[in-house]
Amino acid sequence: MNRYMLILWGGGARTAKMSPQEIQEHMKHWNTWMESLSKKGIWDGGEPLGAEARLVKGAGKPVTDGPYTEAKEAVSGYVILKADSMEKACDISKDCPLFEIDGIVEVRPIRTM
Amino acid sequence: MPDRPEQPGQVSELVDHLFRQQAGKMVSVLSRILGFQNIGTAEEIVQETLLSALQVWSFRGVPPNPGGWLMVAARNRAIDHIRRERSRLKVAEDLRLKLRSEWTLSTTVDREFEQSRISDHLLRMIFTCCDPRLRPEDQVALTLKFPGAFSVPEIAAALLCEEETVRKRLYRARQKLREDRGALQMPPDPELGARLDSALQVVYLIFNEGYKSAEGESLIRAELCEEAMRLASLLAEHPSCAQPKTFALLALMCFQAARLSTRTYENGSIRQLEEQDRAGWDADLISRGFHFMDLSASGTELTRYHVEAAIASCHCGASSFEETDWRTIVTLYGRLLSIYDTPVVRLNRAIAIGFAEGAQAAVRELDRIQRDGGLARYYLLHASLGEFTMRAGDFASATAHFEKAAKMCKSPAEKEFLLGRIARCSA
Repeated sequence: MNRYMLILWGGGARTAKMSPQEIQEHMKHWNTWMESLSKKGIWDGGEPLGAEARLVKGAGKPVTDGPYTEAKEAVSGYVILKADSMEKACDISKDCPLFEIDGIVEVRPIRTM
Repeated sequence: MPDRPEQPGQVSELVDHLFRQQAGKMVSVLSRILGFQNIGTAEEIVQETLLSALQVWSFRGVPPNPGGWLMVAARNRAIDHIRRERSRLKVAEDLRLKLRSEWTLSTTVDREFEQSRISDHLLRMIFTCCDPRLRPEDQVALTLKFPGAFSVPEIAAALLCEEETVRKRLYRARQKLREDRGALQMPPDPELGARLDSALQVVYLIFNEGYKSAEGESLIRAELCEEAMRLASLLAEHPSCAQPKTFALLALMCFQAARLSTRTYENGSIRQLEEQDRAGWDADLISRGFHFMDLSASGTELTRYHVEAAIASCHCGASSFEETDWRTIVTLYGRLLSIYDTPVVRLNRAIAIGFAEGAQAAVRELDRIQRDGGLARYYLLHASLGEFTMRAGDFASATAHFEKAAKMCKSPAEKEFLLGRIARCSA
């Protein structure tokens, strides 16, 4: 089985305006989705990422903020999935709650030897 | 922070409305520390805290003590914020020096976040929002916004008004509160009584907003009843506010809420008291109502909440509509009139008289109210006139009254009910 990384982009502009009640309801959808991945046995890791970001361009060069111009559009985390094919990985991604908040999922195959 | 589980979704189920309730607490503690003038900053810190929970818990599942997790996260963010803004920030006056020094910063913040103090802060926030110098509608909006943690769109949906109207009310109220420096203080003892009265009134307004049209049209309105009962419970738990009138209001709301779900048919139209399925009334809420009524029965002050709770208890205690003790209810309405005389109370008394003494007696009372003129534009007066003239056999006047009522009433469910009555008169 192949492995794919789902890179979770954006969504922050919408969540910034959500009420506490809406945040709680939205989180339920994430818990359900993540749980479904793990029940199907296709979850292979994942982490949430903080919004702070720095670009390091080499020794002696200044470290800069970036690459995002708007922190709300930053990558908020990644998930690694086991799937037969790119198509399958994309299908699974379609249920991701990130779309409820106008985010985008980037699906990338993880290379093997 | 707990270790990451190998698999996500080891989810402990979150209590309903946990985020909303914790947000109300967090914003109360934070604005105690930062001062009411910085309540906007307090809200930002709360939002960041909830969003970090959203992100982390989505991956790692809900932690064993979610409420505690949120409080710690808010505390850490508050300390970061104070450090970062130290030179510019104008915090609460009495904490200024302690927050300025690195030696005392975190212990000072910790102290305000202590479990035992959180409910004090929440209470202070309620009292600040229920300042009697503000207009009642502004007090309601402010109370829903801060201790209640409803968003502007949620408040607008719940109160059936425009978001812009809610924003204006909040702005006006905050300007007014900013003017005095005493904000977010517990009112001093001599003022506490007046302030508690105001808080109880706001709680009851919130409850009635939810109650009067919990016709299943929107969930958020039913949530108002729940929020009002939660606020009243908070008041009742605090030694300075655990007074007979607070318990009386709680009793009243329990009795009313117990009947909430049977007030409408599945299609949303109104079900009259006579037609309600009493087996569907919430027995648990009713027994809580009687419990609070016992607690309210002390002291010398008789409030409208006492009498209204007693009236509601007559309904909840009757096993059928026929067995309702209407004579006692009429007497209670008389007593209510002596402390809280409004045309609507007169109307309710007239209806009770109708059930106790017959339709003719009700029509006489209702005619008198109509002559007084206070309720000329109130559809329930005309609907009641229709009902009792119909019961008295005068179908022509009944039809006219029902038609007048139908023209005035705004709720589709109630309009449908009235049209049904008109059809019955001509059958």
